[in-house]
Amino acid sequence: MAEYQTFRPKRKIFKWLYLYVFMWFTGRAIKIAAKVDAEVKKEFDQIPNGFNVALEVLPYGPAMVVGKNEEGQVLYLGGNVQAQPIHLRMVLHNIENAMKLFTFQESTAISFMRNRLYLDGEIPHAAAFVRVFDAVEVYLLPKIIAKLAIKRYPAWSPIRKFTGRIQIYLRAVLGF
Amino acid sequence: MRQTDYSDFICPIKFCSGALALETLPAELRVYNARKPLILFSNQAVAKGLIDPVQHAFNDSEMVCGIYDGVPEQPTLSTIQEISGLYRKNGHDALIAVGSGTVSTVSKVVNIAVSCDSPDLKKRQGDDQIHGPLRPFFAVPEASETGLATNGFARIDSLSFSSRHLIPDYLAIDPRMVQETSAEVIADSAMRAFSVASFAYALPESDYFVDPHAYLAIQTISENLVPVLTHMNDKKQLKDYLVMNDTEKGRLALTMAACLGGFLSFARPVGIANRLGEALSGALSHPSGILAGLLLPLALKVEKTLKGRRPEKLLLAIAGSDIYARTPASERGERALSLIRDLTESLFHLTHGAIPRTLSSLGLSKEMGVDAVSRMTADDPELDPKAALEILDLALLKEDR
Repeated sequence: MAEYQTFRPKRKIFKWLYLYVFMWFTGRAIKIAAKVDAEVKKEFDQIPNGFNVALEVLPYGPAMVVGKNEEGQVLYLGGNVQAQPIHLRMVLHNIENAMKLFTFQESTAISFMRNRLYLDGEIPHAAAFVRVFDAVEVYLLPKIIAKLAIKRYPAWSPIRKFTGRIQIYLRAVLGF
Repeated sequence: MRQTDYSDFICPIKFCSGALALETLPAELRVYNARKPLILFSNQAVAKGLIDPVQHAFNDSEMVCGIYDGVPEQPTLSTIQEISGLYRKNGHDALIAVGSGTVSTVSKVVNIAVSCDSPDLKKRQGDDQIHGPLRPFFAVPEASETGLATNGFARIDSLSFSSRHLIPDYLAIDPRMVQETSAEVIADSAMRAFSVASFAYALPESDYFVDPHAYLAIQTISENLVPVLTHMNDKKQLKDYLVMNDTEKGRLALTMAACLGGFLSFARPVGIANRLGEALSGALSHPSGILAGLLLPLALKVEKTLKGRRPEKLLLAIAGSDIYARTPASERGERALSLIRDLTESLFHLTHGAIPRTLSSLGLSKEMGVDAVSRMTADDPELDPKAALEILDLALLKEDR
């Protein structure tokens, strides 16, 4: 006998928490990477001052906002996309897509190709932000995992990679 | 290659096939500004436990869904009235059909009932009597997909509808939904699509739009059906839980091909093999797709003479470019038919005889054939009974081996 029932969707709390922590740490790491890595700094130089980028997950978040202030400093602006004007939005359609991307089962390029996230803004700025994101992942992750997360693993010298990694981890945790 | 001088085609579906395809449903519903879908499950889908993955896909979305589990195998107009009433009463704004078979038909007719101003379905029956788009309608097929999900036909009680607006807006084929364990069901679905696509592709003139879709369906089924049935009961290795293995990819590909078959059956009239298969299905107690697969080489042989069909075109899609290039042009037609017979032979061995290899072994008699053909011609006066009888004569003469 057929039956009708109403289904109220549940929240995926643990996945949401993982993504929240990931985005919080990565946002702080981007801010530090812009100070310690010349390549990341160069990418941010192409982005105009006062420009904010948001990476968010629909429909309940979490989100990460990174931007440049009027003095040209790169800042992590927290997880509230309503609190400031956003000039570039990178939006993941749902939390499962975000988990695929941020547990490194798929690279950013593959995720874009599979329509797991969409872009609202200028493509050159988004490409620059993806390059920054890739560089930060190289700093934060061991090579075996980072190779899954990015398109091409860069041929950086060990000194650049390890000194950068130590600085980014320490300064992102301590917050300066 | 002889190109046609006239062609028309419509493909309004967005397809998504692969891991997390179900999770795309809430985002796609938002595209249609829908917030409260009604999800219909077939009885089979409920029995296979397919409600859980769909519910899981909607978790962490803001959408409150209605679930109607167990659309009957023999739905009537009262089923439509009941579901339409639930749709209106609970304020739903989209329909999702999960499963294969009648659940698609019911969803289409419910969509007519809830979208059109007049509740009288009789006004909408017939060809192209639905004027304007209906409410959003998504489909999630399973491995036993019959092609109903992707075409624009619906038939319930004595009412039949045909309209491009009945084709779903979105189709999500997810690995969790195609874990069918019965080889007969997978083979039935695949062979139905194979026959439809083969007839469409073997038309005397090449069509710009039908040919690529038909070629893709034939090639996909030829490449995947036997490997999937061979390895379907293999134990999963550890890496298979991390990365989709070839059998799972093959299952997805076969479901996709079944959907393409359904789509082709709307774009072009289905071949005589499928129609005879449907007419004989009840009497021979076998699924129509399996029977259509057995009738296909005979039907192509007869229609080559009567209607100029070109079975030689099929060889490239079935066997690939190497074998096609190695086979002399004059022998390609016969080689293609022989490969189709080999495919049905493989199905017979893989299922230990559960899928027959000849129609005569099922007890097909002359009377049964004449009865089936007379029913077919009563339904469709344009059908040529001569070709149908000739095909059945060949089957009775055991020339299908």
